[in-house]
Amino acid sequence: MNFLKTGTLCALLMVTSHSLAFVGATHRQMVLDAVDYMSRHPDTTNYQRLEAAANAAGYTIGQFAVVLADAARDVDNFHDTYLCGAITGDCVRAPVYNLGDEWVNYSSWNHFQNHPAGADVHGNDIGGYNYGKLHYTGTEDELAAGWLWNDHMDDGRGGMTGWCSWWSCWEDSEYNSYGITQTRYALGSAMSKSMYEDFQNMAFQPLDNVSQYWYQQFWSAPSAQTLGFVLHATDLLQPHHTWGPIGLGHSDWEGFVEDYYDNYNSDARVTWALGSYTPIPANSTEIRPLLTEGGNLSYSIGGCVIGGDDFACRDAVAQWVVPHGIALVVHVLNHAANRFYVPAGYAAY
Amino acid sequence: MPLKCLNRGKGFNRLLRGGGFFLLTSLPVTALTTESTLQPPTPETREALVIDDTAIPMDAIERMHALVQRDDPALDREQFLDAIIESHLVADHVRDQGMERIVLDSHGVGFSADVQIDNRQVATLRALFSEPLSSAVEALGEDGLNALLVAPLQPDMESVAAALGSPVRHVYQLSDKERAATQQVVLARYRLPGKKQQVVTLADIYQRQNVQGRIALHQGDHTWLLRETQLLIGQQFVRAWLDQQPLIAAETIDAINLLVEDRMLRQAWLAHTGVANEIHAGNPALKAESSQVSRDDIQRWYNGNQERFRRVTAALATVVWCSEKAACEAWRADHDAGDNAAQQTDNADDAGIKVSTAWYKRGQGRDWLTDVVLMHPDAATEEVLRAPDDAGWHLVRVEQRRWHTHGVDSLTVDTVARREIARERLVQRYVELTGRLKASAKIVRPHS
Repeated sequence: MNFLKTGTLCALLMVTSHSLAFVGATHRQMVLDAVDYMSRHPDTTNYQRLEAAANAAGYTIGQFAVVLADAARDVDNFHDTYLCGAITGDCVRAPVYNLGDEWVNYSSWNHFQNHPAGADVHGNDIGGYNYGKLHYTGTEDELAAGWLWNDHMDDGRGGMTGWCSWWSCWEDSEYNSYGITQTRYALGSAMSKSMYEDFQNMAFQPLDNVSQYWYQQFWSAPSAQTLGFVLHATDLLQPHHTWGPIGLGHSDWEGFVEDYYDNYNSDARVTWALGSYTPIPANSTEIRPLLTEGGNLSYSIGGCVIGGDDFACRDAVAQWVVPHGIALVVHVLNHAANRFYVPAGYAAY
Repeated sequence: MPLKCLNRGKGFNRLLRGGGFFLLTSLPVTALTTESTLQPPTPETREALVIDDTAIPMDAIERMHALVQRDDPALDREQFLDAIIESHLVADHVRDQGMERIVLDSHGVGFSADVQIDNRQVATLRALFSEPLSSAVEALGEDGLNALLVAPLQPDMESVAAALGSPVRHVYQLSDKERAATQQVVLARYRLPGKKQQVVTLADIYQRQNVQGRIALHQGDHTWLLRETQLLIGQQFVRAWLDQQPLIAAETIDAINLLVEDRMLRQAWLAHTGVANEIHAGNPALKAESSQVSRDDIQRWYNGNQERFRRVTAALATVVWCSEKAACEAWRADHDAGDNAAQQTDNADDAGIKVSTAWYKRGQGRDWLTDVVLMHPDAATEEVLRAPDDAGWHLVRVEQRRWHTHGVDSLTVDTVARREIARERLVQRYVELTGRLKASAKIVRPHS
């Protein structure tokens, strides 16, 4: 059943869609648009199985899409990365900020692939945010580094999470961000506390690892929410997330896409973008190569929005990255749909 | 490329920015590795900062000021009082509108507003009184906080699993029925000094989790459950111990808790109103304000900020391509050392290094190397840059640039100016709000 014909998802989208881009609500919109695209192309996508999975779980496909989309958005609201003062030992998840400031939730430093620098100390082929390895930095990067110089990642030693025999450590730990968050996202790559001792050289894990971790979680216990967390990987289509900086117009570019998103989402462009990717092999749960293709694309064609605000440049880049973001989601959903429980009779895609 | 910051400057939060006015910092609630000592109140500490019907004892102010000064030694008491006053007035403004949970909302994946506040308050109290608190824990005996347990901490995982329902779910939240079931599962029984026996239920633990913690509980992570239970009892101990200290007035602790909450609400309000923005959170307030900007506003802003719209449209650059990163680094080292041989690199097709000089022009097509050249900040050879698709490495040196300034009627000016004007207006609106709040409040500052 095509939910668009029934109006189910259409109605939901009219209520819930909010065309924002690469900011949280755009991650959300890209997922909704991806499911919408699949519904219109059940012959070339795994839509029927996805819909069957939704129905089997008691959802309409529209409701299911909203759960996925909300989860993709919510990754920016994770409270899982705390940095601690070098002198004070105080651990917080965001900086103190001032009027007019633009700042970053420290969790978002897990949402980068630093393509200009390439491999990292963990052994990842393309590393994540690392201030010391940035080729391009903006005011926000400098302010953050100035604020956090020599600060270290919360490793739970203070016992706020009970990881330190309740009380035997001096530090005011809020969340064992090293032992939980970074270790999970390392996926077996090299890890040592020295990689997280000083912010200015701190090697955050890259976003493809983050999404791969959540895909493993999804695969072991199929859940729309954890699959939605995977889909935050559309950040890799945002050039700032592949060139590196949290500054240099990062927020304003995302605001531009917020304002003009609807200009770039068309059926034809998503179809075109789907062909840019190598689908995830059916016999594999390794999604990082696919995600890195997305990162490579935004790195290849998105440089002019790094510190630039020309309308023509932004328009040209958005024509690439918005449909490719949607297409990336379609590819992941095509593969993931095979993992959900569906009643007998639905062949795998 | 801007110079990388080499200065450690936590005073950034009081930088002169934007419109050039002095920006009050909110309270950076920072923990200390040393602690306030327990001293009886002196006559001076009996004085208080009064804001409307709220009195903040000097004891609390001085302890918090000392705490904040660890990060920001230059912050004097009067500046600190200004910050407290502003935070409190803004926080009360939020409370008056019933907006506390809205501004601290974390979309159900972070910690709830109540837990965020509780964790920050306890962290601050631990920082303020860390040594006497540690002594108090040691005084419990060699088992430390375990001595508070009435029975060994051995939660029945079958009961836990039954209450939590299906371990696999599409959204990691509890239904009302499941929530009720978790209230019936007692994980620990403990007794704080001088208090009656209390229990920790599964509901207590569940509601304190972020989504990662909830997933761990649904997956039956026994270790996680134990540690979170211990953590909660430890936090209860902090508050209970402070309640019993004759040298620490209850008013002081209440005020410290209030200052922490005020600070959090003020910060959250700045984000909620778009005055200070988390870069990925979206900024509906800014978007709404942008739509109100007129063409006349844009013209005026453009006249005063024309330089803002100057762009490099073409650049003459020398580009060094290397098949290996090390080769580019070696070339750069030779070049920096003035070795002219580096300029005479073999450009044969099979060479590992190629050097070329050409003009790169901005156009409609997307080309990675053109972008790199046009954004290159100065004439210096910079770091070695990885090419897309692992197609080698590059060094770029820009020799000349051509510039262009966007006209006032361009779409670039329209989109940029709208946001900048809107941002200025949001900041100005906040300044006006705090001005009104201060003007209408009854504020009595303590004697210096």
